[in-house]
Amino acid sequence: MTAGLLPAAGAWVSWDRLQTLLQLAGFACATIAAGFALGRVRGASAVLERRALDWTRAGFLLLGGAVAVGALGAGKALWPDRPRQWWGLAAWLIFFVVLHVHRVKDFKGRTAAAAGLGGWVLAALAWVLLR
Amino acid sequence: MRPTAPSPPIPPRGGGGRPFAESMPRQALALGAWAGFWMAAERGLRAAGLGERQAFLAFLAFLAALGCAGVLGARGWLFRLFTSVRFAVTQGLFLAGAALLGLAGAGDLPGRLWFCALLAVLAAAMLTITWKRRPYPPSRVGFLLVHTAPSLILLGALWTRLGGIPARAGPLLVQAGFAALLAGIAWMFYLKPALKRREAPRGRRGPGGPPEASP
Repeated sequence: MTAGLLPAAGAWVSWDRLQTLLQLAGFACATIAAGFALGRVRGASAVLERRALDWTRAGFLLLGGAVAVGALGAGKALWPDRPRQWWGLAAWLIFFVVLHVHRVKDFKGRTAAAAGLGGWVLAALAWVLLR
Repeated sequence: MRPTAPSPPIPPRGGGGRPFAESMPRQALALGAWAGFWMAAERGLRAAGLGERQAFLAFLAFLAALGCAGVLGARGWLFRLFTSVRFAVTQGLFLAGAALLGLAGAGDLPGRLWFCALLAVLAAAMLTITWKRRPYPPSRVGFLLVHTAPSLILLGALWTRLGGIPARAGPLLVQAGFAALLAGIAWMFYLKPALKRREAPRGRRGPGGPPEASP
């Protein structure tokens, strides 16, 4: 087994646990964002879209941290080789798409909110598949 | 003599409404063809008796030649494509799909040429976007970090994979890339807006008044 790129952690805290924690926190942010996006899709004001975007950004940062910890701290260096790490990478890329959709002129508004909601559903389905 | 009817507007290149840089379905088809080409090429290279390392070196040589040809022959077209937000969305969808394949146990994806080809396009696009946004004042540090970090990570992975010397350089590049990526995201989304909010009242003449005009 190849050593990880991060120093070895103590027995009570491991990079694996930290990665799980970051993934859960990131997905929780994404869930809150999906709630706001759902409100926006159902016709609420644009303020909800902005809040959804803020929470998506938080989720993106946390999931990015999870990908980094997974790639650097896991047993095998550089590339994730376990399904949970692939899920983290897929979810992170989905939220990358959601954040960029908000920047496309034609998609701003309810379409972007629907994309955010769809992204969350896809990530959640992938999580179910993983379990 | 009857006046002639006005001629219809000339459609953009490609014949189908939007130009390629703005047409996500055509971009998706092109990325699919790109990945498909590399799947077939990998099979061909393996059938020709090339090992994994040799096949990867052939892949890199082809990419370098293609990159040079693209810069010489279609610089403007590539620049428009790589700096298009729609293309970023299409690439993100493709890579997310690939990651979901990895989740479903599709094997060693990072070792497959088609996956590396998609990452190469992503790196080229990010570097082009970085080039487009120059110069880099302090307010764009986050943007610069976020868009150069993936290339650093890929470079480090490539170094490690090809057994570059010194061996520690690859992992160091990967670590630096991830650190830069996370710092850049935090800067773009949180630190920069917070600094702007702190500085905003200084630019106002009075409560709720318009900001002072710069000379």
